[in-house]
Amino acid sequence: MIERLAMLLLIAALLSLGWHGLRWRSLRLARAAPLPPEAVQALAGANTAILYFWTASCAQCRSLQTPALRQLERELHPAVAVVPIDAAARSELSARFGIITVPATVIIDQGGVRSVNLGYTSAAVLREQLNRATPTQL
Amino acid sequence: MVDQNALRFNQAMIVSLIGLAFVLNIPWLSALVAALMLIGTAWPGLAAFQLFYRRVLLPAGLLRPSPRQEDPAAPRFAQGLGGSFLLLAVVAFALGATTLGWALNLIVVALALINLLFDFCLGCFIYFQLERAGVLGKIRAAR
Repeated sequence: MIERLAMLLLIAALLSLGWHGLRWRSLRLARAAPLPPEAVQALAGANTAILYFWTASCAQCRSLQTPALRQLERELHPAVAVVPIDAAARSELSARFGIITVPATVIIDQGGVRSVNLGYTSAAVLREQLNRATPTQL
Repeated sequence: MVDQNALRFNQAMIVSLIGLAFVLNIPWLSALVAALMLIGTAWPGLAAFQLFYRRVLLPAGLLRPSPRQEDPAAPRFAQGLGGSFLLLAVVAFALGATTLGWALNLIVVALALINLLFDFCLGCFIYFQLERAGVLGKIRAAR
């Protein structure tokens, strides 16, 4: 019984480690990647931008991530701009940013990439990340 | 409309019960979870964990509903997939392939756990990878 419990805990630990490893890899790749032109343009008018990777087939994008980002945009416009990117149509750009799933969000400011989120991220978590990126302007 | 807390409770119950079945070596508990999941997929009104959530936890005020606009087909598909894996595990147990049976159980636990803890949508991931590899485009073109 103890061995099985240990095995279960090990699986949970490996999953957690794997997940955080993937996020770290994405952050590293995103920091090394040149920003797409629409992100550079968005940063000309806003302090911070959120690159939003989505695809037409992604239900979670439509039902959860898009409404969360719209809410943030309404609250924080013009300090924050959301830049939607069709991850399927621009797979090379997605790969450069280490995007392995959708929805995914990347927070950038004048200093570069601050955070990368793989999977749905709530408005509350994004707000916290934005605050950390440019606390004085929000 | 989908209640996110009902989904989370469902995933938590699956992880807990299969985890318990594995730790205490009780294959019938895994078979019971498989049956509950498959019944819940075929007849959503009879989904046992959701019924417990709606009839016991919500009225008792232990959990609060968190409804969101979402297609209920996606979580139902995921539940059906998980239930099918567990059904295969039951067949493996019946044929004496215990290791394979528990391996299938652990796959279901792992997938439910990453969904529960990290909000990671496996369906979205698979679709995205297929789309990126151009497989979905070829299928659409063939139709």
